[in-house]
Amino acid sequence: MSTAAFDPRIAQTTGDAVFFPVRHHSPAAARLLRQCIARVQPKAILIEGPSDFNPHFAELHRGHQLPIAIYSYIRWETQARSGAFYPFCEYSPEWQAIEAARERAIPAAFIDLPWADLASTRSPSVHCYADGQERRSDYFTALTQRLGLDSYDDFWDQFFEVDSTLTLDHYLDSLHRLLFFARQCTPGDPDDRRREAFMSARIAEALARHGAPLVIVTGGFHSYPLFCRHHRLPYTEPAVVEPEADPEPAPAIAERGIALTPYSYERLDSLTGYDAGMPNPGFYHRSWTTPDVHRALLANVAETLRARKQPISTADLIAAEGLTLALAQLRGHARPWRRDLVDGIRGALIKDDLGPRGWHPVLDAVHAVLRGEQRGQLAGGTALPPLVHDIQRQIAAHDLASTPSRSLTLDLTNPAHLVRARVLHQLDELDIAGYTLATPAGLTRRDQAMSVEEVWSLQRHDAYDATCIEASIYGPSLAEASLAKLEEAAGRLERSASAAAAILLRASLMGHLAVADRLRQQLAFLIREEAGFDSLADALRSLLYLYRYDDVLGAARRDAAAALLREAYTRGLWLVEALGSTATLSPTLPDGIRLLRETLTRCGPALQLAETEFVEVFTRIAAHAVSPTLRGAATGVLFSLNPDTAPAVELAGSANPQDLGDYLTGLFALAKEVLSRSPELIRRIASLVATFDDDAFLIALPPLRLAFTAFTPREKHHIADSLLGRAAAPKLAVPLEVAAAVLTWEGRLYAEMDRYGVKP
Amino acid sequence: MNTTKIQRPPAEILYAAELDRLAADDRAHPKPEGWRLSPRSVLAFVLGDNSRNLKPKFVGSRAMVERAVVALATSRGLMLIGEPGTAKSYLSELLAAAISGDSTLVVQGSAGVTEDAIKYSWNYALLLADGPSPRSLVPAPVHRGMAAGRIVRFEEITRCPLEVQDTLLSILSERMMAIPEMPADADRTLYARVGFNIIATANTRDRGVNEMSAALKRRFNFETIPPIPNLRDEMDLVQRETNLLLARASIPTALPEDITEILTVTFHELRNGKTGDGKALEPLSTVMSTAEAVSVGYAAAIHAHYYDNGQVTPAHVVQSLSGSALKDSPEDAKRLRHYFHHVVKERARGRWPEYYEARTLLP
Repeated sequence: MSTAAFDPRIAQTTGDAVFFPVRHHSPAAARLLRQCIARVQPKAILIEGPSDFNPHFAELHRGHQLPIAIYSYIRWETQARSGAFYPFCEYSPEWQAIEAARERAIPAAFIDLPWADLASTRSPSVHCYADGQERRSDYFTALTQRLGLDSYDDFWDQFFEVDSTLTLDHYLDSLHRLLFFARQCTPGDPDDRRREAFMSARIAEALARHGAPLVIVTGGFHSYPLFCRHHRLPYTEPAVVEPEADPEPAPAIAERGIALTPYSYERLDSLTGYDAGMPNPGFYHRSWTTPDVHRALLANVAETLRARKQPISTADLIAAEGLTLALAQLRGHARPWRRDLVDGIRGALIKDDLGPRGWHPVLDAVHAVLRGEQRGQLAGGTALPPLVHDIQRQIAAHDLASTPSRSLTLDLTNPAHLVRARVLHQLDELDIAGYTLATPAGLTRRDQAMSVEEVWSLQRHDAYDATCIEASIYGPSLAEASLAKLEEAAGRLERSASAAAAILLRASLMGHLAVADRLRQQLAFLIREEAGFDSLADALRSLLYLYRYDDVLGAARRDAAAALLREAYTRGLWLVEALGSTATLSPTLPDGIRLLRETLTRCGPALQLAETEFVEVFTRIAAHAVSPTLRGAATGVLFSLNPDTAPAVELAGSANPQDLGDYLTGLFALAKEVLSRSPELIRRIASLVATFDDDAFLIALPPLRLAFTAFTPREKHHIADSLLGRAAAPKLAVPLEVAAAVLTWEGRLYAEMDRYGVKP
Repeated sequence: MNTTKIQRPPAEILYAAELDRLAADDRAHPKPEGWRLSPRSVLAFVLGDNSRNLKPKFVGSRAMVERAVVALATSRGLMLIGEPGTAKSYLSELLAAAISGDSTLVVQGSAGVTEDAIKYSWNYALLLADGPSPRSLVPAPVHRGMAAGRIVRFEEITRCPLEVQDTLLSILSERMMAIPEMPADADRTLYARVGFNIIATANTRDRGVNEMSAALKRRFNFETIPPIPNLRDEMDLVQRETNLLLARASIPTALPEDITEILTVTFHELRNGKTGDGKALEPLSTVMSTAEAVSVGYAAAIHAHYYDNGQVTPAHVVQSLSGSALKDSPEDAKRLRHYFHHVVKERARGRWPEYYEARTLLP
């Protein structure tokens, strides 16, 4: 590790350039930045942000409702798109810098390299005010562990947010130092150095144009190198391993743009991993507006819980507050903070076992309150969000205008139609008014049909403009917004494999092939977690479809589809064997088993599925399962696979009246050919039924009827014939006069019933 | 007290030196009234602190223990709930030892517990001779804890009849106990001294906390103690504890590491209903706690020692598993077989194949 020494002069607020380090979205940084600006009286304020937005800088002053974001996007020549967000909340230091400059009528500008110059095709969407560098840093990981804290967020809270009396000088000195050491442990990458060189040049220009002093607001990670560049001091940090060059050089940029777009706390909070910034925007928003943050939020949580019909008494709230205060004291917090509040509420209000998943309605309400509900809105007169333009462009390009109203039939096997269908599916995903799918393609039923057709209804709708603007919260282009919304849905998935498979199908229909890859991973995970055979069978159906028709959908990820299908199949075998222990089974069980068989017989060789394993599992089921339906279905599926090696149809185990019908239902649902193959079976059934007395027969009858619904009327006729023999069912010969008498009597009977209002 | 003869010394004796050192360090620090240690030292004692040369005694989340400690300093009691074998009682013992220097004020809940066993009863010889008086009163743990300002432990509180549980209502809210039999007015009310509080434990398997009265629930802060989430931690604990038991029984056999792995992984997966690679499975209805894993490991080693030259094999684990874990439930036996067929079978590494072969020993 390098032994470069820290130069404490960086923390001074004198000199021609004052470097103010921030954590993006930190209210403490925003508050102290205001103090810093008041003290320094700068001639101009420079902010880490996309410098290609500077021509539109005045747009920021229009009085928007925050949160909003600057959105920078590019379209590659390959038509793929990438974009980056620079979100601003009321309490962001960057936003306060912008506001301070406006109030003082001094110039402000963004000084970072335009994102388009850094972008690579590998990252379709980037959050530019994230804490990636800090989170990745070994220094902070070691520090938080040493201090017994859970995460970088807690560390930041403890040292910078909690104490509202933290002074500017203390802040500057300690944060500069911390990030200096962090950077000595985890140096910046080549992109960081390019950006710093660029920012440094902008600082020099601004100094020449506006004069000294300047306040320079950047992520703390960049402050020290910028300071050294500015004062021409030597700065070294350990060499980094250069990332391997992208094997595919990035394609040329066909189009680039930058614009404001509304944002929401929900999106800000949903970012995770290195893309995450400060969590719980609702909490920090409150801490910015209210000094007594814990009490205000506690009240909010109580309201939320009461609205959700969870009883919370005043005494409970007192206890929760008491615990919160005591925890803050134990942890050495000057005032109760985020974790104290969560723990205080958790300790005092939850009166149940949390269970293995650790989920509780109280915790859910707490998280909703900490997340906040604010949604941004651009002020009137601002240019329309980029999404609106993009939707208009896409609609024109694909001839999908909704005036006049019409209905559109698209054949998915036709590449030109497929592209249009994808655009329509994206519009549908975003709930853009006027575009509805009237008839979906018969996806799962498409065994014989050679064309896959969708019928769309396109109608002029009053809410069209409104829905377009509303949807712009998801992203600036149709593709991205629909993707973001889909991902949001995917993120909410908890444990249903069938819902995940449905989303995967939607992603494929929208042509989001890259996200489909990510969804596949999630789905693989959910399939492993899935505990319900029905839901798994549903997923298996979608997957089997995707696997067989991915050429049509253009998914072209046959290997991935195969891996997923194999996963679902194995899981299906696992679950179907576990089913034996539950007494009640869903009526769709035979369908599920049929799907497993279909997967094996149609895709077995390609997927390298072992038939022996299938046979072993179902042999065990046929012998041991509790449910007669399952036993019957297992015997049936084995028979249909190979009649010669299948275990014999075993009626003895299911001979009682309750079970016989169920057993046969399972058996015939999977292999009705068993009857034609072994004609003596029907006689065995008949002789078994003959032993039932009247009561037993009445019990046995309904399931037996159900069992024989597997056969067509003609087949049933053959069964009856073979059972009773031709002789037993002689042709009826009735004399004419008898028939006439019967008909007359019948007529009288109906008339009588009619008179008393009894329906025949 | 001669501690070497005690079969299981309580925490305040076992860790007496540590506790004295912490108390000495804490002389200058603010403490809740009646506490021997400051809340921070209690935390350091339970979770360990390298800088103060304290070994961790309990494996669990820091935030959870923080909440528990703080709850005891407030006007509510502390209720620890969770599956059996998740070291609830052990945590309550550590807390009581650290806070009051005494973990022996224990009420063991059962269907037979009456108010006498919680509050007080009488020495009948003295009662007949002198009538009711402080001399003839026999204080039960709660009485003693209130009088001395100490933590009282109430084990398995939900096993007590509801009306007996509710005895604690006035004790927890008014912090006093009425003794109406006493002749002198001054003796008729026992006021709790500062430092008194109650740690109750309840397991979620037998009679859950749902049957507790809402009034009593309200007077407790609840903490769910989860099973050890980290497999590595659990493996270390199982290995350490099993070998400790073996050493105490003077059995010169240790549980080999690969066997510990098989054992702990099986328990971990069957308890969580999820395999290491995320496949869900049906959890057993029997308790698959760490404590249970230790006892299976111990039984396997003893079996190996007396019958098979001390070489512990996966077969011993399977035999002990079916004996002590299955508790005669045919449903669980089926689930365990399913686990062998679909999970153990796939594992080719180490002694897993041997383990799979031993499945024939399952009932």
